[in-house]
Amino acid sequence: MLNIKQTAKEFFTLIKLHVSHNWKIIAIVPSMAAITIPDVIELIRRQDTLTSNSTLHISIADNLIGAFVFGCIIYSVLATFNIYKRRTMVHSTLLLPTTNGLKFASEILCTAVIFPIYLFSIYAIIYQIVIAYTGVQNILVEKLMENGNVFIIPAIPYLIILFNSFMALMKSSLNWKIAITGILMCAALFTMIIPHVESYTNEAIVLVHYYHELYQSIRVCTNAVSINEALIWFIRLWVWTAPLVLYTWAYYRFKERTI
Amino acid sequence: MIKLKDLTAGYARRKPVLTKLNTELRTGQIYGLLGANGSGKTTLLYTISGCITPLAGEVEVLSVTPSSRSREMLQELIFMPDEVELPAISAESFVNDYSTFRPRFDKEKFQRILERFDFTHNLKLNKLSLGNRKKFFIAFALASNAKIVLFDEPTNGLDITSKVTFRQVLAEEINDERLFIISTHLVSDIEQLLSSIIVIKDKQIVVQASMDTVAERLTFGATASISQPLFSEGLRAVGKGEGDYSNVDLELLYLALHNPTSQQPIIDILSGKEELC
Repeated sequence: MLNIKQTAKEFFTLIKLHVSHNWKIIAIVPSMAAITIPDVIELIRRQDTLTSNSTLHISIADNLIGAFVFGCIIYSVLATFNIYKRRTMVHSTLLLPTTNGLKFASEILCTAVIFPIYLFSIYAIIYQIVIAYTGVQNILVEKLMENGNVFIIPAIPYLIILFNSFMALMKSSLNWKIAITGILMCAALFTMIIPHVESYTNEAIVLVHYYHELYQSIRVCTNAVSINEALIWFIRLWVWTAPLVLYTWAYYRFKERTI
Repeated sequence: MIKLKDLTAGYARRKPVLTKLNTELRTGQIYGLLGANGSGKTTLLYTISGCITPLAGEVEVLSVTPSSRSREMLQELIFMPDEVELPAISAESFVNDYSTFRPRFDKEKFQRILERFDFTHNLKLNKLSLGNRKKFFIAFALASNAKIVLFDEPTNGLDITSKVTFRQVLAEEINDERLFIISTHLVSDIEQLLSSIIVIKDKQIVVQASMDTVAERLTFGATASISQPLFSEGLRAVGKGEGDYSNVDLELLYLALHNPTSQQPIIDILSGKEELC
């Protein structure tokens, strides 16, 4: 029977390890995403102005949920990132002498609570800094759009996968199946995104941002008023999540044999 | 302590790296795991440690299936991979964090071993050179007092002094309750240390014998002193035991086992199939 004090100590150490090993990479993505949030707000404002006189309806709760979803996505990316190192990283939790339940619980806690809060904190701070310095909420993203680079922003998680895939290929000891899958998934993503860049910008659709797209898709899917609407959003959801789903599938499919 | 029953292991069912391995490894021994590149040494260590699940057959470590990664089993096993990648934290933080999971971790022993390796760095662990990372992790692994310690190429990257220290420390740490497995290409670094060898070739264990058995059944020496060598290379030769007790030359034995003409006779002699004079 596990001693409660020891169990608690192991659990908190696992959390500490997850956070200490991942904080840098987690910080990068929300920092970059935060730059885009003024644009999201501005786009909503424009859309609302065009269609009705409704007020800005993006709430803190929405953002928190968005950050949560985004956190989950990033954590999935991190999981795939870690797979490349798990074979050799002695600090991987895989072989730590603790119960599988504690390992699982600590991962879930990090994915569901700690990382989203952490992400959102950084996100909010940088958002404030951006507004404070620019004075204009959407200036940075407007610039990006002008240059036609907007697709880069939602693709950031995939860029990380792409980077890791190449890194994996560089190291001969790593599993090429995972690496190739990563590259194919990235290719699929870019194929999907690039043709839509123009329409996104022209129509000023709010969901140009990956995390927000995903969040909205889930939300609309579950609250759809008609089958057609649900179907459309389901397709959108699939388009946006398919690469990640497939990549995650590949990760778990090959995990046991790869580690 | 470790049992393999018809073990087939690898990363793809169609292309197993190891097939139908059967053996039993006992405590109080330091096993040398020898084999060519890609022969499956690391795969075997991964399988024993529970990193990968067997494709077929069974593995038992302390009467437990290692791929279940049970807490009790993992407390008694520590694996040092070839590429030791450590997190960006100080040595002290690492020990504080990771010793939490190892109730028998001995901090004094850890310090003692580090001192013997002349390890006095204050850098973050990920900034250390490969050799220093290995020294650090060797000390951590041994101080954990785990019963089973798996080393994958432990001397690769160590300087000459550290290799000597490694041998000394391992010789002191082995006892009747512990078992060390060392996978290596650098046989000369560890041959004095080993109590048994396991040679993997063509996905199989072709030889498993104690060093005493090898020394009794085979003679190593200059070509001139061995009347009918089973295998010779330069001035060195290996022949049937002739009552002399010679120092085992593992490199020569390894070469002989990879030579088509001498391989089978040597396997027969070591397995006792061929009677000696």
